[in-house]
Amino acid sequence: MIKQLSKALTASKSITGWLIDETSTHATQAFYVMQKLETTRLVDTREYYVTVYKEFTDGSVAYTGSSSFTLSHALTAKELEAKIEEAAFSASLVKNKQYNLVEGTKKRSWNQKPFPYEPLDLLDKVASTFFMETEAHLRFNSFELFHTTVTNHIVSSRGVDYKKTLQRLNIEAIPSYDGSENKVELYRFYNYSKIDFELFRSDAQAALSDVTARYAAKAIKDVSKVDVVLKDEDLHSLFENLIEDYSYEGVYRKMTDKVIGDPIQKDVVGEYLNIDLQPSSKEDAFDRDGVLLSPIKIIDNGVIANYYGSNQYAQYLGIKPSGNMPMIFVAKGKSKYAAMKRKPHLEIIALSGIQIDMYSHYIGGEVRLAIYFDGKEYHPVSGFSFSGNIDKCLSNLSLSKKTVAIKGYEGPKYILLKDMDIL
Amino acid sequence: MTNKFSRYLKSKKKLVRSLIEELGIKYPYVSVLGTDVAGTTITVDRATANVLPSGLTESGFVIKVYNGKAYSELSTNEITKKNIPLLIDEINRLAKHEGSISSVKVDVLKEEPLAKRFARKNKGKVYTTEEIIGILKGYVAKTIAKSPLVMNVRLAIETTEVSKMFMSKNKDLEQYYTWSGPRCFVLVRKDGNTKYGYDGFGTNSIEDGLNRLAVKIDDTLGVAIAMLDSTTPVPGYYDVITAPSITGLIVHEAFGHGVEMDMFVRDRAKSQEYFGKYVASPLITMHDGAAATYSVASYFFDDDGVLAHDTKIIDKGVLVSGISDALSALQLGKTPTGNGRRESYKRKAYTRMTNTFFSKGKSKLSDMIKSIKHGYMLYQTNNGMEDPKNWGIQCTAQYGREIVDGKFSGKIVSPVVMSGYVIDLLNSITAVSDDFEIIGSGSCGKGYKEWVRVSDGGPYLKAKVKIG
Repeated sequence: MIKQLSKALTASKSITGWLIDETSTHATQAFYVMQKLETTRLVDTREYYVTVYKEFTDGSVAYTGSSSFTLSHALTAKELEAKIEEAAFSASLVKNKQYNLVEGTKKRSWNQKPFPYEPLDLLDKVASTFFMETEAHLRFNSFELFHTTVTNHIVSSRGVDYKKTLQRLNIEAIPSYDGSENKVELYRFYNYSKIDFELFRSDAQAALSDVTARYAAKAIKDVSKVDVVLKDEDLHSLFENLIEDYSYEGVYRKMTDKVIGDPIQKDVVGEYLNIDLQPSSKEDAFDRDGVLLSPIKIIDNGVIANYYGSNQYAQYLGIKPSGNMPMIFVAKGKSKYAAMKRKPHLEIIALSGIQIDMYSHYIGGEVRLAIYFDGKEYHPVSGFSFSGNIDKCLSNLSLSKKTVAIKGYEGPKYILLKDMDIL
Repeated sequence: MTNKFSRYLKSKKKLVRSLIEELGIKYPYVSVLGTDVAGTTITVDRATANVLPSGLTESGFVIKVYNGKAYSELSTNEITKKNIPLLIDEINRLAKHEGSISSVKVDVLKEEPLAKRFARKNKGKVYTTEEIIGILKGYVAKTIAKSPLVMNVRLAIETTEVSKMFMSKNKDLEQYYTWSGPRCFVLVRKDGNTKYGYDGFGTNSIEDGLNRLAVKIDDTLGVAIAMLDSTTPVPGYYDVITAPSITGLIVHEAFGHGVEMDMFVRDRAKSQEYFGKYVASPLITMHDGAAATYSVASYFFDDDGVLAHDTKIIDKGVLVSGISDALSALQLGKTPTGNGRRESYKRKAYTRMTNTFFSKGKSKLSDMIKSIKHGYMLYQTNNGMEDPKNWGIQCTAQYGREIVDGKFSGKIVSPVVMSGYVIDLLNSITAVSDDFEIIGSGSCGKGYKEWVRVSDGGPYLKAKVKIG
């Protein structure tokens, strides 16, 4: 269908440029209820996201208008022409400052190696590996597996013709513990880009161990202020919030008054942050505009080093576009995990969801499970909240030497936030 | 906006019927859900504009079969005469796959014969893209001119028209409905202090949406400027009054997820131990349903082909019912309540909330405010997270206005993160106002995925909550 689309778009006199993003999705999904198979699913789709561009002037001002539409099935030539003309008209109403579309180099493609199993067999093996670790009272009450292969093929009027195929295996697991007094559960979501049954086994064991701790958890008593250790997904959310406003679009929309060279950490007595953005893998080589991706440093020793983002807004700031990249990379810290945990502290295992408001300088959340160290002993605790001032946290950060790689984040596995309020 | 059921889906009905008949020879249950959702989101701010497809835009089919043990589904965006043999091969491959893990024991879905067409069109004038951009640009310029503190104003309106058909051996259903979601965001800055206000709502009239948006922008600008003097609240327990948006957040996150009965099948909901028991103050009555009120989730039938319901969940403090999709209801031996919803045709159906609310009470808001010695009135949903098995609660309001000795002190706090134990919160409700508002602009995930559009709301509530 790309040929039919590009022919019709090229023939249109109403537009000055176009870009087609063809997304082919092949997915196999399995849903287990109380560790028994309930539903299996296949997804086999091909969809198109088409953007038309129209360069025009109004008075002496040059504009690049654009408008997009989606296609999920074949259209007749007449129907397609009508769609393009409708989008072209919308584009002519969009008075965005002039910018240039990404120029292509040569036809290129990047492919991640397929997982080495037939998808339905793989899902069965993965589920068996997780369930192998369970007991009658300690199991996964809900377990959902998603094996997804997505191919993006983008073709544009400026010679972009890039294709990438990425694979992933996602699991949503609900580890559950049935005790004599109560039943408890936790929420876990895993994203794997390679098949490693040892890793699946250790993730299953960790999830079951955590939910066992939640069963044993008690309310925290007589603690109003304590150092807090955050890890993994919560760090991804934290760092994502820290750099969110420094995209070209954020800066252009005046979301921040900070500029390159300004510090995001002030009066630093702890460790400095170094944050990069990267593609998710070497095969994740281009973004939706056709910008070829390479890592970019956003925060250099606590100072804003670069903005990042899409082709259009980069040009508005007069900067070469980095492209949109999904992976936050944070340089590992100097602190040993054991040293971070030497004094009384609270290590967060599961939050309802970390709450961060950079404009109100707030960080906090409701704790579903944490391990409290009182200086002598460790206690699983639950059912309270922590909060603090994020600027104060950033001035006195400890970052672990130990690193972790999860979906969208690679960097220190742990950070230590000082003197958080407990309620 | 066509204001008509999808021509594309209509054109596929014969083929779909023949596919059902062919698969029906082998499988005791076969159904096909067809979706064709069109829509546009128009966004305008200080310097740019965008005309993009609505996030709900999709067109495709879900073919579902039962092989005597479990259910299998194939999502595809093409059903043609040519590819039907291929689709059947794929379904057969999926349905006959024998893994090492046994299946749940589940019966065949039973359906009464039903053939119906439903339609609900956009009310009032249908605006062109040009007209909408012009109106939004005017609003942006006017708002920027109102204060030198305004850094940016971003306005959007999403218009959608949903066509769905559900066909099985016994059913032939079609529905068409429209919805619009206007939103506004105002960014202000003073001496390096940046704050923002936002709001959104739902309506089945673009005309009404654009008119009401003008008022919402002014309110939002006022909130954003007031937020410049906001502080974070001192952690503690407070008497609060929740505005309908926060009432909706509580009803949805604190209790709604816990009565989604696919959670019962998975032994994931504490509420299943509480049927017939008090779970809330006797002042509380709770409903959910696509037919319970008129808002963003007011469809005519769900993605399982079950007609819309109005389910009373809590009656004067007592838990009386849950909500369910067809497959969960089947496993529990219950009647489905029309709550089977998919994020898209590419995803599975789960039990999902629709329009969820607490019913209004008899108290006057002014009396409720007067009754507070020291506390906050909480506004504007930010986010929330469910914990259906352990009844933890986390609900974040964008801001709160301080009340001292029954009067607003003028002090604003932000953000307001409420947490605690669901039952404690619901039992702490001591007044329910005689107001009622549904906010029809929400999105809800199950866990961290499966996003669907929902509404929630109700009256003002007076309760005691932990803020911190």
